[in-house]
Amino acid sequence: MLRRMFNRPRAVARDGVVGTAVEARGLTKQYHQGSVIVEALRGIDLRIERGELVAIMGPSGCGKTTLLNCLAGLEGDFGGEVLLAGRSLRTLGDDQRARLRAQVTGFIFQSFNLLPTLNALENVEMPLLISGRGGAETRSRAQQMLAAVGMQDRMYHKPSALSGGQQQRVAIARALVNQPAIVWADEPTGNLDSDSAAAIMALMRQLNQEHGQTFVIVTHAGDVASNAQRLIRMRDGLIVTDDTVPSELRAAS
Amino acid sequence: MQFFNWPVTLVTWVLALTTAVLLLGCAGVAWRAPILRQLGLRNIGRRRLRAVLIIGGLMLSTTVIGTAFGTGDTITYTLRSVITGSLGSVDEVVARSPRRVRLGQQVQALTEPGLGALAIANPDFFAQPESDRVIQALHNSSVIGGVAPVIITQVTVVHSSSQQLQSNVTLLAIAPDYPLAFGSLIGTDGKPVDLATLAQGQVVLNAAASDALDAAVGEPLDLLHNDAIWTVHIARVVKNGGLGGEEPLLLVPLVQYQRVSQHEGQVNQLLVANHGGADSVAHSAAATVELRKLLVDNTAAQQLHALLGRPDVQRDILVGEGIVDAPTRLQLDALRSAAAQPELTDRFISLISEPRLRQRLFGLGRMLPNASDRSTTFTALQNVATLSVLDIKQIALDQASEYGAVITTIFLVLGIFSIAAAILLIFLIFALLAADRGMELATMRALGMRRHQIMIMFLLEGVVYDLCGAVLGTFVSAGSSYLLVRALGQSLAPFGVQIEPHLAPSSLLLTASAGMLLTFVMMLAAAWRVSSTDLMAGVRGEGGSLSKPVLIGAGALLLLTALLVWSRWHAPLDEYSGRSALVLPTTLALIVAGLTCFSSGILRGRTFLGGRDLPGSLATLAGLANIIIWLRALGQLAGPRGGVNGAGVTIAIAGIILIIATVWTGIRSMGPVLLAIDYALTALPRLRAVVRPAAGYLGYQRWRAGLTVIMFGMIILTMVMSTTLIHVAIGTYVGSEPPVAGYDLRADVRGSSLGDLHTALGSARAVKASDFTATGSLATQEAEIIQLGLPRASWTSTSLIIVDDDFLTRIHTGMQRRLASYSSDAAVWTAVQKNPGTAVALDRNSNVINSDVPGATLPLWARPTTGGQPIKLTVLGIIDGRSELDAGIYVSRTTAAGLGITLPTSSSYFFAVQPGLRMQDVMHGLQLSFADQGLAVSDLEGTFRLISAFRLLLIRVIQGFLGLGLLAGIAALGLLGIQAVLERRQQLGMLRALGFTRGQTRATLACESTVVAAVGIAVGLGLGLILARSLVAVLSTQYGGLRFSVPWSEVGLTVALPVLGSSLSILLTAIQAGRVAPADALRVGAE
Repeated sequence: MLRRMFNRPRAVARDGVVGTAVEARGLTKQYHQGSVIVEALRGIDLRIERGELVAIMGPSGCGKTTLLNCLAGLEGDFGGEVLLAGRSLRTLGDDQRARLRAQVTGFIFQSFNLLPTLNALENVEMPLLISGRGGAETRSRAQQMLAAVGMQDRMYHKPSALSGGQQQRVAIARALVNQPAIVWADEPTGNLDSDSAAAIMALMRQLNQEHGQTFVIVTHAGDVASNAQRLIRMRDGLIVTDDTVPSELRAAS
Repeated sequence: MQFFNWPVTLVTWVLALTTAVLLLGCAGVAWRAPILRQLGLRNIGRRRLRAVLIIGGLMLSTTVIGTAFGTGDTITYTLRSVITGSLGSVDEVVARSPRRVRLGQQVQALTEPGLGALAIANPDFFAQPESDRVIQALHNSSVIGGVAPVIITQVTVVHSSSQQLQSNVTLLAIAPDYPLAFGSLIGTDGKPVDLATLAQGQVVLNAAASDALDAAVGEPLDLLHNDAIWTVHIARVVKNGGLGGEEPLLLVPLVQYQRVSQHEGQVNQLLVANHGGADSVAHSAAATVELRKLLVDNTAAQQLHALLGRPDVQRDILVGEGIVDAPTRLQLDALRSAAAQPELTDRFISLISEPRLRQRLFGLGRMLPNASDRSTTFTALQNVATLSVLDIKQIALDQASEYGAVITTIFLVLGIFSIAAAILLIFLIFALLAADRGMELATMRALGMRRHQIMIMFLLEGVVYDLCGAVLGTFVSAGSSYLLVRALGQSLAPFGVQIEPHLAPSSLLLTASAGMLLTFVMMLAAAWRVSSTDLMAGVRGEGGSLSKPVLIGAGALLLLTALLVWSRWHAPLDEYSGRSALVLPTTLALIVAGLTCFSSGILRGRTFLGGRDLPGSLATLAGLANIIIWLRALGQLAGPRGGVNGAGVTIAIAGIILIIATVWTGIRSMGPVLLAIDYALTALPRLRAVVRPAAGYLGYQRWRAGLTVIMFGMIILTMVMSTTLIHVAIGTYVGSEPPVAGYDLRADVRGSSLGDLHTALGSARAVKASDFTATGSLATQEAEIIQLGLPRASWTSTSLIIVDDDFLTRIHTGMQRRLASYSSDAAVWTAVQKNPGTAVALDRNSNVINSDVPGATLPLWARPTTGGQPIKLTVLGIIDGRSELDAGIYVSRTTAAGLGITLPTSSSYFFAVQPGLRMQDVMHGLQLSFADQGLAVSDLEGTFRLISAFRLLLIRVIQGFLGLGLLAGIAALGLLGIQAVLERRQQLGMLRALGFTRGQTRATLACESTVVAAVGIAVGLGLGLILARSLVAVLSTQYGGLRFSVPWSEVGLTVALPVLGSSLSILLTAIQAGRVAPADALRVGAE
């Protein structure tokens, strides 16, 4: 078990189904709060293709973060079906989901969630190490990613020595270093000032347009959502609308 | 009782009052600041689990202290009970020392039976009218309640009906009209007993004697004494206690025994009882002075007064003071002052009559250059008090208190590390508490709360934990003391010592106060640290740092303290001792600390060698410097300037500082080490992914981790040290070989000799010669020896042990050293048998034989003290000091014949028992067969087995005590782990989101805790062995024969326990970490 865990990378298919990054069918999720059952998701059907930049919007408590967690494999106890990179999450155990996440997903959070005890470079290297990719390649790849997000001069700084915008750039580098099939972003600009937020969104847009990186962004900020190609609105655990954003609107934002 | 030279009562009251003042102060502040009180106390109910953990941790330090005191109290109480039980109502004893005993050994002879014994070893008889004079003079004494002339002797008692024999029963012959101060004799039937009603040939037994002999009223007993048998009948059995004592005792009317023993008109002791009932011993000092004044020979006292008052003699005595112990030095100092007075004072008379001081004066008198002065001194000392007064109960109680204090001090010294670990645990708890509230407290500061208000809030919360922890700890310590004492009691019961747990209320008060104060001081430090954290650093969740002025000020203060310490204590302690071993290393350590603080302030922000922090590097070097300073101090303890005095405390302090300095240096150097480990795992990316967060966290929380390593290390150090020391001590003095290799039983005659042993066995009624595979006998001849060739050769008293050929053939006890020309120890014994003029010696404290001359053949001359020819002896070997043989020079009968005197008859016999026979049956048979000679038989193997069992149990008992501190270490590890999980919940969630499996999450937490535990164990193990080695080196300068060796199996077992404990703690932490659900953890962080 130790050798399997530490030395031999498990090969996980990156793209089980060509073109589809994630698909949900009849997805439901309930929370038990004492004797009260809260239906956070009440039957979601959704498909996100590779290369899309999707925004999920809705009021607080509508279930958008829960939807992200279920689609990303962070939640295992749900109803319905989720296929992530072609793999059914219902058939996977907790550790198998973890390994799948390491291979095909990246995360960007509102509070950045960098490991405070590691510097920027070490933070970015972590996904590579977790997925079993070692050697000199790890360091050079991480350095390239930091350079790509404009953080080449802050590689050896710990998160406490970086501004919010800089930390989020490092988080983006970390999310992308493993070339994931899909990047999940939960309120990525929530803790940033407007200039930093705009810069971050511009970076994501650039990565999506130039490299075809798939992003799913959960937000309640309209200007963030306007960067997306596709806008999904949720209310009370259901998808209300699922619209394509006209390119003119995206260009204007 | 003294506690590190301070009266325990004083320490107790000071601590209790200080604690009370602090508690009242806190109560006053709480009343005056209700909002702060509310803010502080609300957290207790909100975090109940945390509160329980905190109180549990605080309880531990109090428990360690309380257990040490409880154990010491019990030992003191037990010994005092034994003594007061044995001595009953007797406070002082007046006796004449036996004539055949050398004058310089009077005290030893008078107290030979041991602690609390009523009987004095065979004192000489004196005329009863002498005692009548004393009784008459003390008729109206305000302190002395009664004086009883008695005869006390030891007899062998045989109860034929039950076939029971007791060989050392005390017989007390006393007049029926003895003073009431001695109490009444009450029978076991509850009725009073009057010795006057006893008929001729009737005796009274106490209950202890009745039980031992299985004898009842009316039954006959045979008393064997001085080659005579006296058959008596038991008239009554009295309760133990009072005049009856607790040991087996026979009471006989004085006149009756005088007639039977042919000592009409003579007694051998005066028993003295003071006024005051149960507190009669309080009058001992005054009673002793009064008695000595009556008994002194004024002419001899005047002679001594005149002699000791002379300036030249005073100067010589002053020189002599350098070679005696501190209490005797004080007495000599008082004697010099009294002798300088123009008149003979009561004080002088009392001092000069005191047997132990007289014994010392004999030795000092030898140093007088003038032969006439020496002669006058010896004669006057001999005559000044022909009857000696011993305040026997006070002496015994003082010894009991001393033993109790020794036990308490031993446990406290051993417990110093445990207590230090517990103190660190307290600090860690409050530091974690502060860290947990970092953001909250910083926000309060941002809202306008001042630093002192933060401190008050923190302290008020802490006082509640403190009070609960101290009270609980006090009760738990009572329980742990009880368990410890029970275990000790089990180990000592085979030796006939009964221990019952006893805890003085003052000890409970001391325990609670000490625990509270220690906790309060640590709380104060943590509160100050929390309140002085930089505001923005707190908001960002960072720790604070000391400001430049504070660092510079602290540095200056430390340097000033170093100067004060050196100027105050650098001189030798007194005229007789060198400087305390602590002074130099303490001064150097203070200088290093001061310079480090000073430079940290002055050089803040400076870098060198490409960006390395200069003050930080200097701080690292300071740690290294302390390691060198204290290791050197340890090395010097056994050197020419070292000594045993103060070595224990120096080693304890050195141990604490070495652990701190080692961990400090390690923490400050851990960056490159962690980098190197990370780099080394390049080829193992998944392992590297697990290790990296762990290494990062350890580097990030290095101080917290360091504290835990120190705590763990201290406990392991103490356990390893104590295990090793016990192994060395027991191994040196007991060893693994039987005490007299070759024999199973030893028998000593109290009366006349058995004569030829083979003949005696042939006619014995309860044993046969065929019961034994071998026998041997030895006789003792008092002699003097001189070892020529030494720089200061002089005649020294010793014993010539004359052994028969049977003994020399059978004995194979090993030699500590032997001449190189002999290939084996057996060859040495054979040579002693076959070559006249050869000998072997047993000299435990190297007092007699100087055996350190390399390659020497140790020729010496011996002469008997009773006249005769000197003979030259060649000592072929030194007998192993762990042997149960008597100290002396062992020669064959052929060699001894050269002395030209009638050799003494054998007094001790050795027997090797046939396999298959029960040892107890053979012992009993020997005692019965030779009851006329008062044969006392002991089982050599049995004693050896008991001591071996005692050794193991002693190790376990001490480890059990130290295990309390181990709990502190394991608790700290657990706390650190739990805190790591709680405060990194979001990070753990992120790692899970990135792809960490549950196993990897558990592994990373386990890795952190394992490193902390492993480093702590390694540091503790290494330093424990170093300290043990240092202590053995110091002790061996005084107690020759101590040899350092490491009991690896026992040390391994000792270390296994903390490894198991820490593994459990690590496992629980890891399991908790593995349970973190990523979505929940990330959601908490996002809220």
